[in-house]
Amino acid sequence: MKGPSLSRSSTTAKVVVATTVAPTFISFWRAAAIVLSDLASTMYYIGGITEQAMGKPAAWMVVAVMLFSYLVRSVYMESCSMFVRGGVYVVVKDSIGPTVAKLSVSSLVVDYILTGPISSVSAGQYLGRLLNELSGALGEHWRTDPNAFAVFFSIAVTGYFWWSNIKGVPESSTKALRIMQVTTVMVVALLVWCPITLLLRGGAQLPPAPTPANLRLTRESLGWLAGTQWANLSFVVMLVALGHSLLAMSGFETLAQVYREIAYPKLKNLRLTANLVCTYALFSTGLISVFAVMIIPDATRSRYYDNMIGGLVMNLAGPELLKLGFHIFVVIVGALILSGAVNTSLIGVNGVLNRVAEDGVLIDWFRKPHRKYGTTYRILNTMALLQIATIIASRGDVYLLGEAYAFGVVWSFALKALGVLVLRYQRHDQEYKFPLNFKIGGREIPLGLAVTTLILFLVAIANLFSKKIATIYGVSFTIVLYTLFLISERVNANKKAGERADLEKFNLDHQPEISTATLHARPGCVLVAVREYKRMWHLQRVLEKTNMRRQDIVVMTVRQMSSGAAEYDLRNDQLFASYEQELFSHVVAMAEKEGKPVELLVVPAVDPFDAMVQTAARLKASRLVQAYPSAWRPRSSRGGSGWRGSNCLRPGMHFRWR
Amino acid sequence: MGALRELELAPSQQRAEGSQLRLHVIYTNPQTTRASLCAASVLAHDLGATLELLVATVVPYPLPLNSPTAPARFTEELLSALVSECEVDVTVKVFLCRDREETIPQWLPAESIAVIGRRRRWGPESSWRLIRALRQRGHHVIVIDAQKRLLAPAKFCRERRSR
Repeated sequence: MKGPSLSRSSTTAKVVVATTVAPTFISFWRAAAIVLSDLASTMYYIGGITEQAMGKPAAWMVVAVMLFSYLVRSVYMESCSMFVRGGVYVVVKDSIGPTVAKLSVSSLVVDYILTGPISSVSAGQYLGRLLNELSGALGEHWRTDPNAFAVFFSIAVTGYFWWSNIKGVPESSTKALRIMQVTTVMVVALLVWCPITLLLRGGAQLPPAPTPANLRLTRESLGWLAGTQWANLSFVVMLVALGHSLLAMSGFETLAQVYREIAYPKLKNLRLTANLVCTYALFSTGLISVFAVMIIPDATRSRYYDNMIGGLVMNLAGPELLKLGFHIFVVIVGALILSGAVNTSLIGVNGVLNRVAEDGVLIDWFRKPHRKYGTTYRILNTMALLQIATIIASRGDVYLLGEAYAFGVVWSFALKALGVLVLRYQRHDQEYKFPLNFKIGGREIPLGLAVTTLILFLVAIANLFSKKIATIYGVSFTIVLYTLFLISERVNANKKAGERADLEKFNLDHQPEISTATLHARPGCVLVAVREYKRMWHLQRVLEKTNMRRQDIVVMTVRQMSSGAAEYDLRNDQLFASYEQELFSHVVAMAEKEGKPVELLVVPAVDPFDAMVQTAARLKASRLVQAYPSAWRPRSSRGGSGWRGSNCLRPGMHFRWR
Repeated sequence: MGALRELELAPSQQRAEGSQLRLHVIYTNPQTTRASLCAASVLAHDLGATLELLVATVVPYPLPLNSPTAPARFTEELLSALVSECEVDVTVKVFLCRDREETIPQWLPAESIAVIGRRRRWGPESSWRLIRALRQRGHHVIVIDAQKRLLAPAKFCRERRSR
């Protein structure tokens, strides 16, 4: 954000434009809806992909991955407790270093590039096959090739969202919430209807247990391991099977992105959000995959690999017309949630690349704003073209896309977990720690975290050898992106010297007077005076203790002026220098971490204490809180109570000074 | 986080200005906003009020709130050009937010007067959700029919103001 800019028209009209960030902290319900609108979309294709790779026990592997997601949830919770704005890139950069961070962001970009094609192709498969069923139900002979239809449909969807993103059309969290509400209706209906069907049919059989003996890994799903001794090792077989199923939990990265805006109590709400996400995914993605295997007959199930939920619906007990109606509903929900994932992938990749560009890791050429809409159209164009090329190359094959997709998902999880593990030994400010920690000789052993990281790395390595397509596609993309980042960094090295990206940008909104109305602070607010960013424990305490339903928090600092300064208008940099910027950046970071909004105020004054008292009086503050000992003390006493005589305090008004 | 404010301790003249009636024009799109700005400028002139244009730039969730899809400088220049066309004195406030219907009503002072333009069209319109949210919060909303107003050029507004 920038400071206010002033422009004049040809006549006397005066325009002052100022930009400010207006966060609204969200509930855990809304946060879960945002994460799930990405993560839950996998339920539409994971069942078919995994069964093609390993046979009937695949459904249990999906359930296992959904249970494993509770562990990955803990990795994300620990990382969020340290970084309010910490995605994979930030965590890995802080813990392991910029080189691995570039690799992790490359794998994340691969993940995003493939999210779009797999989601849109899957939606196209559902829609194409539904059209064929409708045509059959109406007695028509018209049929479409689902693969070709999926290719055309997904190119159209990608094109639509590419254009939306070029125009910068916003997607609100309310829309995500609505999509998840509709999806929940579908999931609940399936979870009720499926057991009824099994009861009516009788003799329901659970899928075989996911033991190495039951897993039927094909030559294709074993990749380079086929024919080697490794393929006979049970442990390796299990890892390969897990690798084929891991993409069921893709979309977890969104959890780190929404954390910044989760309301107070932040960590508790994050836990609720994450638990809700994992439980929802377990019931939707996990159980629906199991029901699909139990309900769709073995003989016909292979026909439904690309539209497993559609096949499940058409094999439920009940009148054909009702099933067809529900099938249409399932496809509509699928089109909504899967299309949402296409949009999220374009927004996400744009966000990630803009974030690395801020660090000078991407050349500015990519960030050139669109002439009309101002969006970073070159990044969007590149990503949309890559997605369309992927769609065409896949020829509408969801399994092929799923194979390639796993690369980005597993490596970004593995590197994130490694980053969090390394941080255990580098930092000690984790407000939440992954469970199962022991101390040996005074040294902490994070067993739970280490085991989870190890599992993720083993799965990632198993994927490298078993998923030929993923490895070739992912490694090639990663090398290209990594090289691009490396060259960009060299090019930008001189340009960016001296800039600090970690500081917030503020704009000064000059107000002729201060009041509760102009500051959005209700009477009875808590006024906190800050001066040194290293001594802000008092602000921390106020943030912890204040009930935001009853009181607002205003954080102020005083810019000390000489007595003659009031005769002239002060420039922005005289009021708000780099020190104030750093000070308020720390305030914003603390407030975000606590999940509570604060109002910021800078007051130019000769006597800081007078300014504090006057401000408290004008805001009708109930408390004025200041760090102790402080240089800002009452002038008359420097320890006495002369501040009570300040002429701005009206009779009968009082507040507590802490 | 919040906007940053500066307190002047003895602004007797400016204080009188601060207590002036303020009309808040809500940005919807360039066409309707042009129409509503034009109408609001006439109203402001008649009432002796000041004008403020509130723009809620929605940043989608995968992006950090301070990284909108279009850079803030670009939006500011676009708005400056739009406002200059209408030839009115106005303060433009751009909010980077997640939800327009939540942010605008929340940031307006209590019982504010909001001017919002809309175009008659078939089907649901996002402006109505905003109008409903503003009214639910107790703000007074003046809805400008942009279809009619678009026919009235800036010259008309200028003439009305000068009368």
